[in-house]
Amino acid sequence: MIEARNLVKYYGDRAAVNDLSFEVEKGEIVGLLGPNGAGKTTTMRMLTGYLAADRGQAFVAGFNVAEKPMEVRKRLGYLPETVPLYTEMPVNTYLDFTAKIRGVPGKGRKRRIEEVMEMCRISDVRHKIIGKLSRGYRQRVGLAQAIVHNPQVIILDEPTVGLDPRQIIEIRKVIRDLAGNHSMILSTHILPEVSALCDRAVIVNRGRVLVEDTLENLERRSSAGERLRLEVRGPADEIRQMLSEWPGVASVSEIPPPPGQEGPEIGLFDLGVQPGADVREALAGTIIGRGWGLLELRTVSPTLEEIFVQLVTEDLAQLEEEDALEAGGVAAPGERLTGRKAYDEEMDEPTSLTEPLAETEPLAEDGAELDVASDTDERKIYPVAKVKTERKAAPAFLTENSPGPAEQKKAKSKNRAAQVDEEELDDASNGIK
Amino acid sequence: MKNTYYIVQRELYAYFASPIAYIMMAFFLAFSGALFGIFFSRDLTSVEVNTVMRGWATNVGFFLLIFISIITIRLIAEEQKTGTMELLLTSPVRDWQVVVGKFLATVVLLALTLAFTFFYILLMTIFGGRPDWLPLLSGYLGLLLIGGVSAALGILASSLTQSQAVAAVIGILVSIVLWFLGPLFVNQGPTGGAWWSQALDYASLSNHVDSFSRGSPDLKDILYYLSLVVLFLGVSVQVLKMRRGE
Repeated sequence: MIEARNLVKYYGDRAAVNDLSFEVEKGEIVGLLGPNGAGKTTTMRMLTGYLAADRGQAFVAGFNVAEKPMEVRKRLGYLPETVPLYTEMPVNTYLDFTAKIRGVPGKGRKRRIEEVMEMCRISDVRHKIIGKLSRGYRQRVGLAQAIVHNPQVIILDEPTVGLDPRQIIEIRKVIRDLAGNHSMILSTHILPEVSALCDRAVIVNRGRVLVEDTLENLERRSSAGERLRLEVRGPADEIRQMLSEWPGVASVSEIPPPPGQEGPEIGLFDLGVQPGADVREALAGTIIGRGWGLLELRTVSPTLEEIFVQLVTEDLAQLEEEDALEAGGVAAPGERLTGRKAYDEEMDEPTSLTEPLAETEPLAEDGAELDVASDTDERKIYPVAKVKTERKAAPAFLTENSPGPAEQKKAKSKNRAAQVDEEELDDASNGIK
Repeated sequence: MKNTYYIVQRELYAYFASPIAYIMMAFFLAFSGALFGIFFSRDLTSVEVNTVMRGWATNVGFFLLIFISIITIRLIAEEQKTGTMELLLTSPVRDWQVVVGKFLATVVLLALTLAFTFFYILLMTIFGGRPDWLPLLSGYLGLLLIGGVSAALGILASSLTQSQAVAAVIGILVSIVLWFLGPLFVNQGPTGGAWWSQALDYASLSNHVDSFSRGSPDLKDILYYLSLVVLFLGVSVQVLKMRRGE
């Protein structure tokens, strides 16, 4: 239903999108995933026809976006990153206008608007002026606008950005309700969103597709392999000895218990397991047989976040190498993850970089969010590239411990007094002479 | 065509949802009313009434220019800034329909404002003034055309920038220059006879008002105003397209 074919877009001489291709099948929800400035918004704008591609082609519902823009637009619902709202209008008037320009016929228009307001849970504010609505309501009005003409293809640019966890869950419910009948792309840099909503993820960085696959495949593909978490009460050395000799266990590492929770003789182990080997049952039997206490044994599969960070980090590392080759030198180890300047410039919101990409979600109402929320506290993911903020040096009078005007005057008069003293002394000495 | 109509509808809604249209209309009516009062404060013969009416129309024309420049400033600049332009231009609406819709909405507002000034004419006839109706009506046509040019110019200025302040400065300055191009800078200066000064004089907005207020609108004057409208609106559409990299 949606196809991007070798899309290229330059801003000045910097490629925001560079040879980007992917496809979305009918009825599929695809998450477009990437750090800030990866080219997600630009890609979506080219798919909608709002921006013209410099090279490459985009197809929506079988029509070439550049050649048949009107056919594409009729079949397309789009929620841009900044929600396009006429803030002076009441909600129902606004939706009436958007329905009209999207070509919803006059006959069923009113009913359709009611339906959409119901779907997006905004019926209770239908007569309110949009400018007076809260952020969450505005976002949902924006979503209503995108689906009012029941389009085949829906493109949502960061639909949950800036919302609180409750509102995020509401929006996700709306999006999930839409799934099935519509092909959908949604961009995000919030990873749980992809796990919660999408069938497939397209991970982009620096305007290119790094990986495009289903979530299960992505998790399987991770080089981390399968890992086991083991918590045992018993003599630590013996346990370690036994684990390292166990067939099928590739690596053993002991995890220091969190401070304050050190129990007597409790060992936490992280086991790397060779692919295909399931050692859990035998291992558990042996541990119990030896009279040790088996407190926990579970499989840890790599999360999407780990995969994402790994991919983006690798991509940036590759960029470093290319740069180093170009410069004819080797990048200093300290600069390893900072990326090059051009990349930094893409990062438009410095503040978003200091916040974790994935945050814990305290209010999980349903299962999908629950498993996402579990143990995220140990892996808050920070974006790999950091913006070097250049601060202007503060003027000298602010930084130095210089005396204020009053004190300066005092100091001056003191100096004068000292001078007078000296003169007097001179006079006196002259007199002596 | 339907889309243009929807855009006109929405723009009129926006005009009357914000105080700016009311303020500017009140201001314009107060100003033209004051001018009317000043011009007709003497006892006039019926011949004089017509000449004075001509002077009034020309002066009102200039204020109309400023008035329209101010109310058109936000038309595109604001939509670029709030992102609603992205909504319009990803809907099955063509760029020119957006621009023309905004233009027509402004013309409707303009016609409404001008209609209010009929009150002065009413007063004049009640107190015994007998103006010639033909010059009067064609004078209104002239005002409508000048307002139209100004609206198109305002839309163009608005499309050039996201900042309404910058758009305002561009729009108003260019309006003033266009108005005074002939009479002030060139016609009465030392270069009065040169070909280029005559050309500039001809390009001046104020140079084409007279035939309307005389009651015999010249076709070439009508064409002059209309071609300016088409030019400015056409450039606006191209600017919108350029911004999106087409």
